Amino acid sequence: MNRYYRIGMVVSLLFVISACTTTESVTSDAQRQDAETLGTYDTRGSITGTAVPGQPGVSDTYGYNPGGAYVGGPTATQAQRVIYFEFDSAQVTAESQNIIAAHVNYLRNNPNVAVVLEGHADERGTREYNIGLGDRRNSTVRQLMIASGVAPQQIQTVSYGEERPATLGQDENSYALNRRVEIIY
Amino acid sequence: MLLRFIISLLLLCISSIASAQLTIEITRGVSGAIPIAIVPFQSSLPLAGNENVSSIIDANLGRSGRFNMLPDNAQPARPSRPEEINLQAWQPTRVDYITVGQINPVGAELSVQFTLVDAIQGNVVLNEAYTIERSGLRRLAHHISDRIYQQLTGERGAFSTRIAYVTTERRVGGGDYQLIVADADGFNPQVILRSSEPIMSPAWSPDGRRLAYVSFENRRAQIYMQDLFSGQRRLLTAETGINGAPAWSPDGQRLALTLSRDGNPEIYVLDIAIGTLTRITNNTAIDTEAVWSPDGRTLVFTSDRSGSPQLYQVPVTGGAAQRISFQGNYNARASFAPDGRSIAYVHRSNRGFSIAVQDFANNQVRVLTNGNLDESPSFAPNGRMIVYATSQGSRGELAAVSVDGKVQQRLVLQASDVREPAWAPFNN
Repeated sequence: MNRYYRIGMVVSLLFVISACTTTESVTSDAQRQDAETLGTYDTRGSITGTAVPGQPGVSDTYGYNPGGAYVGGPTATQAQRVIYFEFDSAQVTAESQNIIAAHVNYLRNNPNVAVVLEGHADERGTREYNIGLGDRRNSTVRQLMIASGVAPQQIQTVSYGEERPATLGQDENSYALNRRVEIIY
Repeated sequence: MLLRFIISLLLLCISSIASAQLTIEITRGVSGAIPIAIVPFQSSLPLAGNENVSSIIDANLGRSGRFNMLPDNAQPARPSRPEEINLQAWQPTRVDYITVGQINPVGAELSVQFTLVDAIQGNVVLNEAYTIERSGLRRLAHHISDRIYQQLTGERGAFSTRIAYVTTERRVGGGDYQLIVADADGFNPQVILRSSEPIMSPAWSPDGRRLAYVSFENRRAQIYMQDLFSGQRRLLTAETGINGAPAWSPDGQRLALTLSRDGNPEIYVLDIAIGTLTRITNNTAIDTEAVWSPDGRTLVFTSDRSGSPQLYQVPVTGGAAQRISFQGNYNARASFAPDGRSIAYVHRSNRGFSIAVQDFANNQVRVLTNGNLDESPSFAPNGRMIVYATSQGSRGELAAVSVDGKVQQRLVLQASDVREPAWAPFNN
């Protein structure tokens, strides 16, 4: 057991060190104001509407800036990084498009930054099929982002199916909270 | 917190944990069961509850639903040899069979003798003796149960088999996960894998020596194979995207599995020794949960190519997939009966998700359970029972149902959330 502790210490130290080196550039980028992408996006994609870059740190209570804009990037709150879906569906709602657009904006301006999309499903139905549903939801979001100008290598995906619920409730409201894609920086 | 992280990273080992045990409750019995008495074996040694051979046999046969057990306190006498049985004294109990036995020390080992007697004709049906180590008493009790079961029903008993399942402490975001192998009656749970990341889809190799499963320990789904005797693990697939739903071919040489590396979930077959992948489906739909027919010729899998999940069958050598499920709009996660004549699967109706069995001969569908979140059906190797995952409120449990739907059992774990049972093949 002592030997394992020591090995474990070294291993986790290495993890911590490698994690530190990748986040340094991200925190400095978040300070920049991205003024050049107000308005509509690349019309190849299906994201329209405006996304005004927000001010980091202001929007925690509301999920988006009081000005009505959405925040992209690693300082976005939990609510600003989650896209929800209807039952058995991978379609992106209009509201979600705004959330995605803000992150597209951030990623286009920070081509060295990568995100992981984590796809989820509610607990109904079989587990491996639900892994497929989470993956389909990831793909939808990923295609949208790529069509809007984000480089493919900036987006990785992992589907957890029903294995990592956001809430344990078994009513429709809880299920709706579990059908989601989370954008993780 | 850091220590916990370290420990969960490194603590992947086989260990024996007796704290969490399954208990079996019979919720429904069956008429037409054979009335039988298991007389407590005479033993010159005091036996612990875990070693009480006759009571284990009694519990096994009763749990199968094929026998009506005469309780100890209704037995008129305590014979331990066939010549001690007074048939007339037993007539009022209306049993068809009586089992008597003895356990005696022989050197450092034990001699166990039992006799199965026809209570009406009076003749000896089975008469066997075994010499074993004391630690083998429980396993011997299961073996004797198999012998009696086979003799009286004509079918092979499944009392000496094992099941694998996943438990988790149910928490938001997941929890700690364990992959466990236990006796079919829930005793002797052994932790095969412990992880802070999800474990899914355990699948037994045909020789019962290995488990394939999905582990998220590297922060994404990957398929591992683990030898239960040596503890050795091997990472089988780590493709981009999904690596899921491993299923062994009947010859143990290949695995059908699900990969999304080519854009969306598709079925592939992996040659385990060589490592080559053969693609089976090519479709924008979700294709997953493949299982092999026992003759090794076809795969049955779940696909939503028609708009919602249904079951399809395709030759392993390639070709068009044929849809085989037509009732309702959600049929998924098939499991073949050992004789290949039927499949169990998850079927959605107005009530929710239950377990159904479909015969290939006539496409008849029978819904066996009445839960609303039932899933993961797995046949016993004698084809008689199906173990599956059900839920009691927000907690997952295992249950078993006979293929004719008449006998139901609940397997209740003292704590945690149990899911994804897989019944092991016979120990040949």
